[in-house]
Parts: sequence; C-alpha cells; structure tokens
Amino acid sequence: MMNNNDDLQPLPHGDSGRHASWDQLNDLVDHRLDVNESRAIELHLAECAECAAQRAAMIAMSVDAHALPHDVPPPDDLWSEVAASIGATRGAPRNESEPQSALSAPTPSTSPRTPRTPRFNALGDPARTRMPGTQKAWLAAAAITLMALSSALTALYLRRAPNSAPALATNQQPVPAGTTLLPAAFVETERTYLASVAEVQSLLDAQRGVLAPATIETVDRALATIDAAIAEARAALLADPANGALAELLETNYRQKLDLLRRTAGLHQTS
Amino acid sequence: MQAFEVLYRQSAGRVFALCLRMSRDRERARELAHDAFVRAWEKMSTFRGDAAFSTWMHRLTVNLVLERQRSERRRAAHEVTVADRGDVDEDDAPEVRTMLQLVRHDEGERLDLEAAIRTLPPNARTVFVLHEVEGYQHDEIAQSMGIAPGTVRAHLHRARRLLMEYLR
Repeated sequence: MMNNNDDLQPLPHGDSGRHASWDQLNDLVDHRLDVNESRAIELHLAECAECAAQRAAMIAMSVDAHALPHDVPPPDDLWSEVAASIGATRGAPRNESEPQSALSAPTPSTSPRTPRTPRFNALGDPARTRMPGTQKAWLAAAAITLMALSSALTALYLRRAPNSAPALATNQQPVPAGTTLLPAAFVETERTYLASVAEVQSLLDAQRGVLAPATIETVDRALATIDAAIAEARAALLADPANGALAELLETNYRQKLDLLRRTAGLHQTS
Repeated sequence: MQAFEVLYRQSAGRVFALCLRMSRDRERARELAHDAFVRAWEKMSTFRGDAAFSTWMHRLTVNLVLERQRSERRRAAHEVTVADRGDVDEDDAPEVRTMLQLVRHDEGERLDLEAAIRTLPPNARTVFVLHEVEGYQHDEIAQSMGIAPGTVRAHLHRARRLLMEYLR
C-alpha cells in the first residue's frame, strides 16, 4: 500500500517507487498499519537508511513533543478574574438541571493517554450532553471541598516525598521496595506495569544500536523525568496507602512510561 | 470558593499551557483559561469524582477551546467569502509565513519544537498538540473536532512534515 496522497513538497528522497511513502511512515509510527503492512515496511526500513532515518526523526519529534512542558504558569491575576466571574454566579456552582448546550463538559475518565473509553462528548449528541438534573448545589460545593482537600493532601505528600525516594537513574526500573505496604489493590497493578515495562524496555534496549543518538538522548531524558515522578508518587503512596488520588497518580506515571517505551520501540498494536 | 481556588492552583498551569499551545496567543490563552475555569465552576455538579479533577478539567478545556475555534471560523466564514478549499487548513498562511521568517531569522536561537508548533496552520496545530503533546487518540480527536478520523490523520501527517521541514 503506497499512500502518496500528500499535497505537500516531496520528501527529501522523493522516489515513491523505491521508498516508503510519508503516509506509510506516519502510520507505522502511529501503529495504524496491519501486521503485514508493518512487516513489509519494517523489511524495507532494514535496508533503506533514508526511510529509517525519516522514521527515527519522526519518533524523536514525537518523543520531544510529549516531553514539552505541560505546565505554564498563568498570569498572576488570572485567579482574581476567575473569582470575580464566579462571584457573579452568586457563590455556588450552578445546579445543571437544564438541557446542556451543544458542547458539554467532558465525561470524567482516566488519563488522556488511556485508550479505554470515549474521552470527549460527541459534538451535537444530545444523549451524551444531558446533565443529571437533581444534584443540589451544596452537594457540588461539598464535592469541591473534598477534591480540594484531597488535592492539598496530595501536594503536601508530594512535597514531603522527594527526599524519601531518590530519583531513579535513566532507564532503570523503579525498585518496588516496600511493596507490601502499598494498597493491596495496587500491588497487582504495579506488578503488571513493571512486567510490561521490563518487557518493552528489553526490546528497546536491543534496538538502541539502530536508533539515532539524539533519539536515545531524548528518550533517556524523558524516562528519567518519568522515573523521578514515579519515585515521588510511590513514596507518597507508601506514606498514605489509602489515598486513591496518589494511586491514580502513580498508575498514570507508570502508564506514561509504558506508553513512551512502546512508542519508541514501535510496539503498539494497530488499534 | 476557597476550595475551588485550591483546585485552580493545582490545575491552572496545565490548563494555561494547553490554551497557550492551542491559541498561540498569550492574551487569548488567558481568556480561554478564564472561561474554562468559569465553566468548570458552573458544571461542577456534573463532576462525578470517578477521575482526577485535573483530568476532567483538562478535557473540559479541550472542548471549550475547540468550541471557540469553531465559532471563530464560522464567524470568519461569514465575513470573508472564499472558495471551498477542502479540509486542509490554510487559514492564516500569511501569518504563518511571517512567523516562520521571524523564527528563522532569530539569530542565535535554536529552532525548537515549541516555536515550530506555533507556525503550524490551526487544524494541523490542534491535531498535533492533542495527539503528540497531550496524548489523545485519532478517534477521540476526530470526535471532539467533529471531523473524520481520516482528516485527523491527514492533519497529523501534514503537521509532522511541516515541522520537520521547519526544524531541518
């Protein structure tokens, strides 16, 4: 399958008869090819340095993009503006008893990277945009208070935690010390993630010789960041095993690491 | 209100980063972040607590930003009569070229990915940010943007090509 439907400038190598197309390389990186297509292109990449370099550059850019900062400090006075606007709504969250507008609040789910359930409400889908209509405003306010308390505790634990668990060296697995103190439900989750991470990482290690040095450097840097986050969250969870938010935070970190490794190693199955 | 401020402090950085990346304009990002938090306050009763507030807030922000982008484009379509040019974005090509020239002539500054993303056409930028930075899947992006998954794929491929050309 050669998808030469690009309307842009030709790739540097240009020759679509001898090289994988841009769309094919993209689909390969995104794991959107079936097994046979993937195998055919992988075979080509094994013999074509140009296409292999294109793929490596694409992966490096993907890793770089995911490693971009996800937090940018907002203007200092933004909260005062938000508070003023909220104050105009008479102090309590609105009870959503009326049909919603075309675009509703998103359905809470798990991390954005988790491919489990639909994340967004469909546009113009009234069945999915209707709100529960019986909740009292004071219940919502109580929910806010509970969430805020949980968030504050999480932040507190995370502030206390950094020195209790040293950041892990690049590409090392988090050492599951003190596993027995983790919530029972999380022990199995962690074991599963660690096994998956170890499996993918061994494959990635085997590919290191064919990856561009810049890619390896970028991946290692991102892994070190994630590992440090895992260590922090884990230490916090050990200190407060009943805190579901910390368990979720740690699972998210594991998931991010696994996702990064899979992306780099090209192991995602076609969805 | 104090409790909501705690939640704001926890998630404002991520919300603002998303708004800034999607809008490319700090003042616009400020407006979007403001509106996102106000909407979150108004819709707090719909938060079921089965996910982190930050996750819920992030998705609410994505939806709000896309909603605003659509209405702005609808408004622009009324104001400017143009021929149908297909699903490839072309909205602000002159602005993109200008920004690109500025970036390329910024001596001593490395062309980094963040700057390159800012030069992308709107749809390509939106898809790239949601897929590559925020980690959403093709189908999710298609659903939220109201476009076909194939169009998402085309925008993503185009974005990557433009970025690689810019960064070369």
